[in-house]
Amino acid sequence: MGNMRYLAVDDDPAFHYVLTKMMSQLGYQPPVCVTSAAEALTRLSNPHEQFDAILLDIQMPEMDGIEACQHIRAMAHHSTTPIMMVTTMVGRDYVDQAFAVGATDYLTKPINRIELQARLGMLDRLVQEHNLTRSLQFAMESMDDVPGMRFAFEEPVALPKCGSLIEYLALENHLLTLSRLKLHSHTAVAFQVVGGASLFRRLNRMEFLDCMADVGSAIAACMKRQTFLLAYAGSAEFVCILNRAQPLDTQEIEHELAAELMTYDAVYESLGMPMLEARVGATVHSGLFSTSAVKTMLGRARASVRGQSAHQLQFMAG
Amino acid sequence: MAQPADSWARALLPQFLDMTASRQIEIDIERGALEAGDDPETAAREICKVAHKIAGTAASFGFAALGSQAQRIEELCNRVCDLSGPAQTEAVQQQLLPALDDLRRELDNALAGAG
Repeated sequence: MGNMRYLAVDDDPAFHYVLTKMMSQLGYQPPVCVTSAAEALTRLSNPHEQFDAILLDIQMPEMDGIEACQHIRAMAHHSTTPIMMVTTMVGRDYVDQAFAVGATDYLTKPINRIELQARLGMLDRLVQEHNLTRSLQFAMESMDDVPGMRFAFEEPVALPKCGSLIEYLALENHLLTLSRLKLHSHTAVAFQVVGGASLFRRLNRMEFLDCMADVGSAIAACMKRQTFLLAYAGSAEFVCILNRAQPLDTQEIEHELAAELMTYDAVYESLGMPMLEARVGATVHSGLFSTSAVKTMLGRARASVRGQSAHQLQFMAG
Repeated sequence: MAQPADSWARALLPQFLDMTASRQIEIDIERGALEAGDDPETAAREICKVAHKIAGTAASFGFAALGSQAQRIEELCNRVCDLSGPAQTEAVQQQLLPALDDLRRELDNALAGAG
């Protein structure tokens, strides 16, 4: 963590003092601090300047943090750089917007050392995962390296070239943030690729990731009428979080998904690969959140898709 | 006053208080506009920006009550901006201006305690 280089964007110099001192105490390098989104974008657009993660204030004059986050995500070399949004509790209405434009996590001001340590620790883990993903992508681009790609079936690896998905850790963070800010009324639903474990054994890692990316794209196409966040959870499963307690006809979604996946049949057949099939789990609604309830909500959504089809089972979490 | 626990916070306290006192002056200027009733929305927006900054760091320097009051001002300013007409005027007179008085008291306490 000592070598991680952070960019902190906040128009308040007092916050720069606080952050710099707290990060130094925690053993981190002092962050590079800038006071506007425009200055941050200039620094970030310079490919010779390396930043491992970004702390981004939401409420800033001229360009706010949400818009800045969109611009950062549009930069190819920062499309996956972890971005932690920072604001006071009053700005909690922006949480959904921030995650929807690609934020990774959310920190509330005033910051305290324990929470900062936990959030930075999570960013460290994300950076490590990104390094793994980059090596996977590199291997995918070089067929000779395919046998060298290593990840377990259960791992929630980032799917390359699948723009509709966020990372599973980011999805968990989103729910934990909603919990901290006491924003409830969200729904989770899980999807499972039928015979996923068998696919994993049968295909090489590159082919397996391609399959999962295709399923992810198909799910995103089915969910496009809703406001959603979708992540690959490992074990050939996906979890989708819908804003508020929207009614969801999971049976209809399952039919739509089957139709979407059929569009891949010809290609898969020509490659001698099995046809893709996926099922949809029961919807799980958030109740009173706690850290354990967040894990429970996602866990129950995934448990339901493993055991039973959606219309047979409805869970209430929390 | 609660003393900041960290040595760095104690060391930086004079700068923080200077900065916060300057921010209080910015709030006072906008408060004048609020009281005149010319353009309460613009004044509330400006106060909100300043209060947001105070709310973001005051607790880190040992001034939790000042931070909480600044956060309350932020909320009230947002509410004022969402209203119009007599409801807006009432929110300014009955809620925002008294809350600004409380903020001023908290700041005075902070400055007195540090001195």
